Amino acid sequence: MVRSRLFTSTTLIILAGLVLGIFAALLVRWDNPPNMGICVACFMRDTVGALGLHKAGTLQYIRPEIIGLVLGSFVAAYVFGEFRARGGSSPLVRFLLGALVMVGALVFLGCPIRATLRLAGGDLNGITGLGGVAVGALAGILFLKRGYNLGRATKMPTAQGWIVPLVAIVLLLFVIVTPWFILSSIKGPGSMHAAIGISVGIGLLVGVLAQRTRMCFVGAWRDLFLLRDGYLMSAVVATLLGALVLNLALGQFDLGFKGQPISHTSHLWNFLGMALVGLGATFLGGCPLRQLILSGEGDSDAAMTVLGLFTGAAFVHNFGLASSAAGPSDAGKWAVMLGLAITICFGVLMRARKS
Amino acid sequence: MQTTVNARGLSCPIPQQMTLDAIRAAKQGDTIAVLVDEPGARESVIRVAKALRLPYTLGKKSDHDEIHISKEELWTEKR
Repeated sequence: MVRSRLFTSTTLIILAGLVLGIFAALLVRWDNPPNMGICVACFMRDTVGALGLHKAGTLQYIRPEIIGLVLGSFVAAYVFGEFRARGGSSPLVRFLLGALVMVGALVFLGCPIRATLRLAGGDLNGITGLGGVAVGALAGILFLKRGYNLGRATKMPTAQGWIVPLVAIVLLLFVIVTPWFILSSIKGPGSMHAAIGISVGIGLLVGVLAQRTRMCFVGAWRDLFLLRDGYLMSAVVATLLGALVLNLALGQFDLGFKGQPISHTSHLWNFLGMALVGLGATFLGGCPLRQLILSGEGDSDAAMTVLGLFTGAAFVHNFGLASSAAGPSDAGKWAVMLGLAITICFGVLMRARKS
Repeated sequence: MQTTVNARGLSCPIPQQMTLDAIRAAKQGDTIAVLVDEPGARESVIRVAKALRLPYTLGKKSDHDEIHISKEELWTEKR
């Protein structure tokens, strides 16, 4: 078994960001929804829909990209000796925070990766979203400095670490075989998808790179503010540039705020929704991408977060919390405010026990 | 003098914050030993040391890693 490398270089993470950006733009060319080559939040929501857990008929498809991300991370972690079943750090809190992060993301209509990709497609609402993530991360740092801590994880039986990769394989079989109980949209964004092989292949590649480089689209802001360190941020910038160049080359670039695909122009709620994502993800120790990658490494706390993200997606669409092109729903606005309040409470209440 | 920061079982961003706190509380000439065992935590703590331009050494134990950071005058405090 290969020993893990001492330190992954800045060159590799820039390359990883470029790969993510370029292939995300290509996925749109190959029929993924516009400005949504890879969106972890949207794709979790689509997958949950395919399982019948929400009834939004245009948003139901098991997205092979997220399966690829998990399996790519699993393979990379295993080969480099970093696959370790671990868990026990406030799992229920992480579950709930995951659900709240998903609420924020679906009010904005994207995860931090999609905010970056939207901007790379000319959708200037991406700036509002990224601004929200940055401010949320900054607020999260204030709580960190005051001793916020979800507690230690401990080693778990190895079999527990295998659950997430095995479930991912089962989901992959479902999307290939399409048994009768798996739903699949025939119109709307859920019907827009690249070929399975392409989607899973790109997911695997990005998953390997993201696991090795510790790529994280919220940690990027956190490290910038906390440490003035740009290592993680270089992936965000590289993703933006890679996608931008490809979008321009492929005629997928349209500059402006209005009329953007799967997007709305309510600046306040774009900002607040993503502030909830930034704050919640800082408390969780990573953006939705990072949670998927960690869960592939055997981290069951991240797996609980992923379950929370999935559950949040189901609730959002069952309770009408999601935004549309016309803007946020009233219920969605309340959900974001409530979500921010609950997350701040966790920031105040979750302190380390002396050990 | 050596301070030990036990960040075992803790993941991003707690080890970074604990390391920062320990470095700021330490006196010049002290060593801060940070214990981690999560895969990403080792690199995160090293990035803290590098961001503050402090020398560090990395030691691998059987079930955890130790990063020993020497507190010299922080570059942010130099005038």
